[in-house]
Amino acid sequence: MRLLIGEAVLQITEKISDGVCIITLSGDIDAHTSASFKEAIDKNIASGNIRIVFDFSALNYISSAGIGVLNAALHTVKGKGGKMSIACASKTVYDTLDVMYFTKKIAVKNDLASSIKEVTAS
Amino acid sequence: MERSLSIPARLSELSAVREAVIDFIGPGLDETEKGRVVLTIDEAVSNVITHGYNCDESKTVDIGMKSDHNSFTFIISDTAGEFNPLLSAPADMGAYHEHGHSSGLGVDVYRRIMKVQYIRNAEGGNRLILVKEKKNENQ
Repeated sequence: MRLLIGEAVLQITEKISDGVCIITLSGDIDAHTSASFKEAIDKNIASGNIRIVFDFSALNYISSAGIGVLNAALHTVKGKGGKMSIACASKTVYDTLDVMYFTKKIAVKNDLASSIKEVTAS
Repeated sequence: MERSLSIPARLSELSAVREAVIDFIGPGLDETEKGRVVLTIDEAVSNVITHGYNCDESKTVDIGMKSDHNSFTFIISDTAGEFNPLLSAPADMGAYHEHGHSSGLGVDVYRRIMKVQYIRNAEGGNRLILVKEKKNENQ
């Protein structure tokens, strides 16, 4: 989905590859767009996709609203025996994750392959 | 240097607020510090829109920006009911993660990143003053 020009833009694409759900975000996750982010994650968890990698390579910004969505999802996924990982966060996005102590809770990797390996490891 | 903007209390305006802050700061802070200031202003304005105004688009949030040799100052003003973020207890990060909470970090974040001063306007409304010091090149 894509929101209107002038507002924060968030594009979300999803694919399943070898049992791993890869959710790619492009744009900004803020209090306005976080509901869409939540919807995409919840839909996948409901479908049984509990090994989830978030590709942040095209994500410009995340606020506490987005991290809140991730935190709630991580809690749910872990409860179902799954795993999550973040790949390719920019320096600014990584710093925000770190400021909110989320880097201590989820593996943040420099490349997609490492994140995929992280969520598929037993 | 000074600049200001007023936005309707609509979350879709947050992007414009962030762009204005980024533009105002310019090269005055390194990328990490600039990102933290942008995050802080975004969090504070989000709170006014969501909690102060209940996303009532007929209301307005005013954002004033000032820059001098020593610091950047941002003043966020509203006409909402009284809310002093300095009286909020620090976020319980243990409970936040353990219980999978999805909200409640915004105030804590900006209190840690910038110097915060709160003023309740005599005529009603809140004024939040957020200050970020510039690093002196000679330090």
